[in-house]
Amino acid sequence: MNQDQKKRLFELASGHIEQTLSASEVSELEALLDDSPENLRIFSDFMHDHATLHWSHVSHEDEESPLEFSSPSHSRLPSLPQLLAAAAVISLLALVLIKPDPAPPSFATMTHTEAAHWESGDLPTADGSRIGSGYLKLAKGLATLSFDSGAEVILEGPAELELVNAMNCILRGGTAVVEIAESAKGFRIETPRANVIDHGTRFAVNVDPGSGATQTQVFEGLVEVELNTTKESIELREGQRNTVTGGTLGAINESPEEGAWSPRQVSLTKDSNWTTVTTAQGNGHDGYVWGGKQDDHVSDELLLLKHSQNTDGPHRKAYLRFDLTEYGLGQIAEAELTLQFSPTGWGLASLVNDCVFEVFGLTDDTLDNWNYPSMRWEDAPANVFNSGDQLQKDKVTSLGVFTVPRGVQAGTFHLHGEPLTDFLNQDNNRLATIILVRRTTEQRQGGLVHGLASSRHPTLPAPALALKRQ
Amino acid sequence: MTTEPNNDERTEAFLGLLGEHERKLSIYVTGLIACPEDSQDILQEGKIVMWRQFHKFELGTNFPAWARKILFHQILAYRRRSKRNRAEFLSDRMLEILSEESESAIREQRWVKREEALQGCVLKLSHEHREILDLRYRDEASIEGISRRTERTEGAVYRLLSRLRKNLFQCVEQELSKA
Repeated sequence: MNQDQKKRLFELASGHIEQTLSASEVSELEALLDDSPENLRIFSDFMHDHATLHWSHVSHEDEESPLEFSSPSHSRLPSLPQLLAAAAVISLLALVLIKPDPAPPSFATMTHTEAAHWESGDLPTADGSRIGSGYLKLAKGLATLSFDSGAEVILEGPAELELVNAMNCILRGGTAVVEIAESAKGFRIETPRANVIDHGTRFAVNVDPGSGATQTQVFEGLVEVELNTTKESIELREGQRNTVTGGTLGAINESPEEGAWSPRQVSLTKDSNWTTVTTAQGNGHDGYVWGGKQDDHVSDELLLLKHSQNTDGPHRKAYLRFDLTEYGLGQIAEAELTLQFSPTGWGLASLVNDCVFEVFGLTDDTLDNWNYPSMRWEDAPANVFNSGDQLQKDKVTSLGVFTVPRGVQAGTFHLHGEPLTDFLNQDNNRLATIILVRRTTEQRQGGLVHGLASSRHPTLPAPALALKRQ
Repeated sequence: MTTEPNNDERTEAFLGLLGEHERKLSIYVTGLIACPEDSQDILQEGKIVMWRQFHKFELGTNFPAWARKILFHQILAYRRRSKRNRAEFLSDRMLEILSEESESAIREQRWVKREEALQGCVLKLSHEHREILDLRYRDEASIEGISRRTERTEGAVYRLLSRLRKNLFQCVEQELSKA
């Protein structure tokens, strides 16, 4: 037999043992086994070795020497321990027969669902349900699962997830955002192409249900992405992203440094040199404008953002105004903008990829006195009417961009950096208008509308600037 | 025709036969479906079926062959119920071919010598490598568990285990060709 073929046979046999074979590899293995009786003999003997190694251990658990093999028993009568073991099996069987379907052990809780529509699956889906191994298919909405191991998985519909145990699940399609406690280090999400292993972190995984392409984005900490096939792996750290397509590990991409996305509300732990100004203070204000085709998606509590794939909209851009009269020109040493995103319930998150947002400062001070809700698309400062993401370049300056990964709709976003600090220091009338646009369009109509809490939101914090004096 | 044994005698006969052949039957199942945990479930269910059908078994005939037939059907049924992606399993057709291969290996007693040779080959492994095998097979640790315990990456553990199995296979083949 050809040596390459033999080598491949061993590789596939190993994959078969560890259950890492893809559908195409299974076909490849079957073709090799059909190819020659010798291949079949080798595979069969190889599997027999594997089984022997396993059961030689298991049947001699209490013997001291590892890997000791039992001598073939020629006695017609089984030994007493063998009889007892078999008797124990029978009495267990009796119990099983009386109670044929004991509830499977649970290891997770469906803690929270939001606008969730379940398509199929065999697990309870009500809030607070205890769940064990099984299958969930979320048509739309969000569902939060808390594993007893300390891992939390937010599933975003449409998604298909199979729960294996408290440390393992299989994502067949869609997006899961994962956050784990120390106790759940090693939590693993298997996908058709890759294994994503969490080493203490927050990250999002997205699986294309068709190709199995697996995108992983790390918000914080360390994640290992491993190819199903070769076990080749890479490590992703905070802000890094990677896509596994076909049988290859893609390159590691760095997200823009300005934006650090976190899917949880983060409390500002700044020292006493820092103070916070929100859009609710002084002459501060916030609002958004919508343009193009009309729809009925309005909110007073959220500032909506959308860049439609149609040039005639609907589009949405958000405006924030901060009153800086407490801070003189050039007095700000450092600044950080904090925005609280929240799901709007409009549009499907799966129809937009990672979303890039751009933040602008309005440099034309004569335009600072806009008012919401009377401001319209046509008279919004610096607006370019026929575009979902353009502003008049001579009236604004870019302060940075940030990316909201696919599947993430809620969380706190921070923007900092020199352009923001410079803009705030140089704003002559001490009223700073900041404009937000979404650069990314949806892939198909009906894509997600992003929203962030306005100063009118009943529970979430208003847009805020944390400022440090010189 | 012999007289029908009473219930107690039947139970005793069943327990005796099961005890005598259990290990070989377990190896048969794991040899076909690879996963020891699944094998465990299949064996458990298979024993129930064997016990229910034992009245059909003619004492004095080949118990392991009879039991393997039942187990083979249990394997197929178990796979049908499994929620794993079916495309990631060997096909039923291939499983039947492999089962026939097992039957002929057992008929030829090919695996009796093989097990002895395997034992010798395991003893030739380095301490470190035996430890890895022990973790995988004795402690039933996952690749990930071994990776943590031995401070290797999971990829490295996977590759090492693959290599160890292949080396053992080749060692056994060599031993058998000498004999």
